[in-house]
Amino acid sequence: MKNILTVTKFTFLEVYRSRLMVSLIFLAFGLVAVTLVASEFTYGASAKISLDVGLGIMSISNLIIAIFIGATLLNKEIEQKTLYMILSRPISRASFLMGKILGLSSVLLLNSLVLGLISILLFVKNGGVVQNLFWWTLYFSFLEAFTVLIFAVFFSLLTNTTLSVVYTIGIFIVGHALNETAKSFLMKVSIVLKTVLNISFFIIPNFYRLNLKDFLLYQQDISWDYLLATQLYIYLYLIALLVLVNLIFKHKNLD
Amino acid sequence: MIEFVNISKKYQNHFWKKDFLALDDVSFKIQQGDLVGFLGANGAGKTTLIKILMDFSRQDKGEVKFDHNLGADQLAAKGNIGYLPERAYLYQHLTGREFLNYVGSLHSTSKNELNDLIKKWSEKIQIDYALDRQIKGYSKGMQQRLGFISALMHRPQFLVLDEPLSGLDPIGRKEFKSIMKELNTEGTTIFFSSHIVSDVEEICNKVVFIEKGKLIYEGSIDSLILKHSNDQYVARYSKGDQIESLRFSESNKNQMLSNLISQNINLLELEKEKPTLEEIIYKIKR
Repeated sequence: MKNILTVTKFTFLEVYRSRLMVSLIFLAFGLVAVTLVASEFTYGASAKISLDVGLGIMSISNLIIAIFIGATLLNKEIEQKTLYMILSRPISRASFLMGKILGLSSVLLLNSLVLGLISILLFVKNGGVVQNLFWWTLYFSFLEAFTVLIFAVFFSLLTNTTLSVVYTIGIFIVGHALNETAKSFLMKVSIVLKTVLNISFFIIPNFYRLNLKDFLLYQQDISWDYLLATQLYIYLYLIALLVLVNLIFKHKNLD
Repeated sequence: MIEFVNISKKYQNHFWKKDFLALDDVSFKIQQGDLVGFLGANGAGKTTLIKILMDFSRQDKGEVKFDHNLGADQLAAKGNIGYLPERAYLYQHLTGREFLNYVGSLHSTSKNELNDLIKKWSEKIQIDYALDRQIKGYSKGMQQRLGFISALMHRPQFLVLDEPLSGLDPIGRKEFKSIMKELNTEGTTIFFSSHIVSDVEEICNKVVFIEKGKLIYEGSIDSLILKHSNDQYVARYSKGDQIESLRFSESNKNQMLSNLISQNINLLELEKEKPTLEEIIYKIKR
């Protein structure tokens, strides 16, 4: 565990010193500017609009960080051979991988917290009232980005960086579209298609379930059953995915 | 301490091309206390074998056996191994001190002990002045020095160095060689690859030589030189202002020396003619 945290700490430090953190600052300023402009153009719903825009920018930036850093995380280490300096120590490949993933997740967490808090401040400034659902939305958005990050790492172990990015974006789009597909007429009439779709929920994550923005902005309520079932689903999914990624990395030739 | 048993490794080219055999049934042992030079031309398979030893690359056949003194399993053994790759691959956004703290923390070394070790080795290898700078501002030689510290600061029993002297200036090369000799005298087993024969001849007691993935020679440098020496001797003596030499065989040695002494000449030196390791390697390759 100590070794995992050591890798986490220095991965975070390495990313923190790179240009990514500069882009986070730009994003934060951009978020404030866009939210202020957007709320000026609305009448009577400026708080809702500022929250919508704020959370939107946070989700997109989280996804961009997850996809691009996830796809380069291990590839860069393998290509530049920096991992030789670490894996020549008494640390297993699994611990190294977990440390790297946690290091990058902490970058995602920081991004979520900074942009999320700016969104909430703007929301309150425009007359909104903070409720618990806001924190659930932030947490689920982080879980979504974390899942995307693991997918990007998974593909980066199988192919090159460009294709990893393309495949991860594909998974993200399909993961969001599956839920809407389930509602289509064809799914109601064909048992075969319905079965295929149900199986695909085990292969491709149902990202739609992690998007709580509609609940936050319109219904302003959510059931505990939904929150617990979604967490159980995504955690089981993540465990399976992490085991698979770990197995591939364990047997990979690091030439 | 370490034994390579029938190691073979192929690299797959395009499916229509024949596989490239990087290592072909390589077997040899490294004994505790040895300072072994691993010789071979560029592309001979040295780095591939070292990557297999460090478990970065997997062999197609064969096995690497670790002595139980190093650790109960391969992971534990790595705690007693120091490794420097052919180029020190470092995290460019970290400072030198952060990097050494990073790799040092992965061993069971306390924080205070680690700080003392970083201080000791950075002063000895003369990189202490740059430890608080980001590595991206380091020259190649400075990066190599930092990598060298990272390989040996946890006091490993076994040091694996892949071309450690490349990228260093003559003073740096001399310092590295002297540290390697010093560590070996203190009991550290060292296995270092090089394609510069004179470096190996200067400091090693054993040599492993591979060519195109095949083991050509494994053993002591002295016995290799002895094996390839002829039985010729050269005597140098002064005659007036001149220094002259006389060459003779082992069988005539005593007779020739008696003659020289009886002529009352000033004998300066008697030397057995022996080739350099470089000449032997060149001869074997041909």
